[in-house]
Amino acid sequence: MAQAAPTLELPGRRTRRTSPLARREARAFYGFASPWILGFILFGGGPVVAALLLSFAHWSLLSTPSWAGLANYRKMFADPLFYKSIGNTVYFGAGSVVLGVVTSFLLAILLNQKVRGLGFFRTVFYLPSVVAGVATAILWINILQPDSGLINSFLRFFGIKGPGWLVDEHWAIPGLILMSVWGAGNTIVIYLAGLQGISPTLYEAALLDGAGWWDRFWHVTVPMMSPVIFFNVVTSLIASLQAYTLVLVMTEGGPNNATLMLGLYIYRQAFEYFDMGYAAALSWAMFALIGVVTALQFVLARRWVHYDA
Amino acid sequence: MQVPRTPAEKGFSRRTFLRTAGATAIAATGANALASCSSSSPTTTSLIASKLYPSADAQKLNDSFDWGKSSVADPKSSVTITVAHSWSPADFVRQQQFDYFFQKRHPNIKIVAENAGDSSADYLKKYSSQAAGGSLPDVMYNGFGFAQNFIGSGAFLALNDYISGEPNFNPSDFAEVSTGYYKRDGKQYSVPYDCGPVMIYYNKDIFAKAGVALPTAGWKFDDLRNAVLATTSGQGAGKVFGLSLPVTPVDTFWDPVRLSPLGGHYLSDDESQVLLDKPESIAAVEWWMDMYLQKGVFPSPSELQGMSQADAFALGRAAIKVDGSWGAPSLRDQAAFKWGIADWPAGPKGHSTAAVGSAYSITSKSKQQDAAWIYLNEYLSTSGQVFMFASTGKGNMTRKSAWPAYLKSDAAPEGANAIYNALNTYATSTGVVFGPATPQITNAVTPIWDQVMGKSLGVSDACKKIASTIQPLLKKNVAG
Repeated sequence: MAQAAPTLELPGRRTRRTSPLARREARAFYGFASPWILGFILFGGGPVVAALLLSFAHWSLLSTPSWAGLANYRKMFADPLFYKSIGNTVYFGAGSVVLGVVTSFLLAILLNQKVRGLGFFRTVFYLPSVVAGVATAILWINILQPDSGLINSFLRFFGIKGPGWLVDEHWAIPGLILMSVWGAGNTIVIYLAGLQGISPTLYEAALLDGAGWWDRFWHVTVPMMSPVIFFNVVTSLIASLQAYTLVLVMTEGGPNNATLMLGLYIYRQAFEYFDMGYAAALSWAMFALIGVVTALQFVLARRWVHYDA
Repeated sequence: MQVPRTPAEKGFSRRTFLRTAGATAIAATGANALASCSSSSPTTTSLIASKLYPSADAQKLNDSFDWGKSSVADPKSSVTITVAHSWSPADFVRQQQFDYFFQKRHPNIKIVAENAGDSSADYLKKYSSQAAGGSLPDVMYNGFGFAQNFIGSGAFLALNDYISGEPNFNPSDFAEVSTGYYKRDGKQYSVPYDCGPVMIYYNKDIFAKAGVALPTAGWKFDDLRNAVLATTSGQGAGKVFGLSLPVTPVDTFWDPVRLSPLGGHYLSDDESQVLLDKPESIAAVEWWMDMYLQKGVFPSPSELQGMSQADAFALGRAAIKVDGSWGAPSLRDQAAFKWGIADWPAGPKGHSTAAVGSAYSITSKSKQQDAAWIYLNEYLSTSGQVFMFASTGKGNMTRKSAWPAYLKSDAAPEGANAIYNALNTYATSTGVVFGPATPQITNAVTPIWDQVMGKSLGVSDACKKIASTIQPLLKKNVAG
């Protein structure tokens, strides 16, 4: 077997290099992919490299950039609002991902049951995902309104005085986390696809072994779904760490900077203060934060993600 | 009163690679992304019309004017100028009508009109990005709040030579307060096209229900306070507020409107020193905030959230709105109650209100500066201001000679004479915060004022905290 592997691969490689069909296919591939490749290089890669250069400059857009060395990074590490925004971002990111992943997973399990009107329920739960961000924000401003909002009215029914949500600095981020579950439809769809890919034989075997619903969930569903959960955690966290639109519309970073996220802070520096150099440095800090958090997740994934389906 | 200010930045060394990289990136990402929010109208070859602005009316109005003739000769061959605007889509139709008639009068000048929408923030993002890419239009709109940044960076052409060479321009026809925002080192960089003073809007129905006399020209601050307290009533969703919006340092007009008449000040005139921690300034802020803290005369943060951050006055839930005269047209179209406009009252220490507006400039790198001037001169002539503002009910013309047409029109609200009076007598730019550090100041004071509004920080302590927080930021106003 050790000798057979190269024997099998090498002719294939030679064939790909020399076959006219393969060359045509390769040309077609790059032809069709070229708009995306060019777009990525020009509009993705270009600004990324430019942002790195600008992070070492002072630039107000209207003036000529001047070399600043590490000044922007020194300013960043001495800026209390940078740390505040990092803390808020991580708090919101972690909270929204945990709540979102758990809620959407449980909803996906419910929507995977064979009940009448399943299509209707799946549509209802997916629908919020297609509502525009600003409309969602305005809707939730009303839902979270302290006196007459839906949530506090519901709590009042049980004799509980609800918090000030978006106007109370201790409750503003929990309010935003609560709202983030609203857009769980996309995640639910991914979970549903994963759930339907689990072989029924595994559940049958578990039943034969006398497993109850919890054992089947914990020892069959969760391990089999772990790659999907991992995918959702990684992508959701990356999105949450870049939270910007909803915060801008709902709280503008307030009250008392309690919801000042890194994305909003970068926006302010770039397009309110026109300090593009500092904004670029903050952008790279965000990139580093996302990179570190994602790398950490990949390391931890070795302990709980199973690809042996 | 006048305001030559320093720009945001000055005197950088050249780093070509950074400029190239930055300009490429910003022009590519910023301008392209924002282009989707804007519209561009290639040379208008037919008369565009809408229900709001019928073509026959526009034609008739245009024909009724003597448009005069600029001392600058028309180009001998065809040239094209690009003009950047910040209009709502509905009002952009009127702009295109003006451009159509202008091109009829000047067949060798073609106009390409760009419209970034009526959001100043979007406009600023778009044209700052274009400035970075070296592709500004020939003529561009600019607002009082950011004009000095463009002027300081050399983006605008000084117009003094054109103005002095134009016999019919008549600079004294402009309300004095409207011009100061666009001056620097004795030179005029923009021609103001609108300027509105902060006034009192009052809901007649609420005043009548409370049995309070309507505001008059002779009102004093105590009259205002009595009316505000008397008209505040009720609880919860049915509460009526004396004032529609919170009193806050985020309001960049609060010095001339609220503090100065009581003897207080926010910043020094050149915006280099904070004066809010002085006893007389703290007393002035307390005069306003006591009404909120004791009687809730304007909405709290949670009450504002309950109204989806909407203006309680527009909802018919506030007796008085303190706002610029530019708010009149939307109220005229939307208010479901009787309302009027009155003079801002005089305080015990003086009588002043803020007046701010916008202007148009010719960019310094324009290759068609003469054609741009011919356009600008005609656009902001008396006839141009009547066509664009007086006849459309927008008001706020900067030329005094354009006001009679507005005041005689059906579109002028009750109290329009008071606006004209304020603009030309007690309205000022002194104390209006518009230096380069303004956005930082606003974002720095907001969290502090959040605590005052939440009643977890006293007014006096907040004023002192604001002073110590923003004083370092003011360096940006005097830099360079």
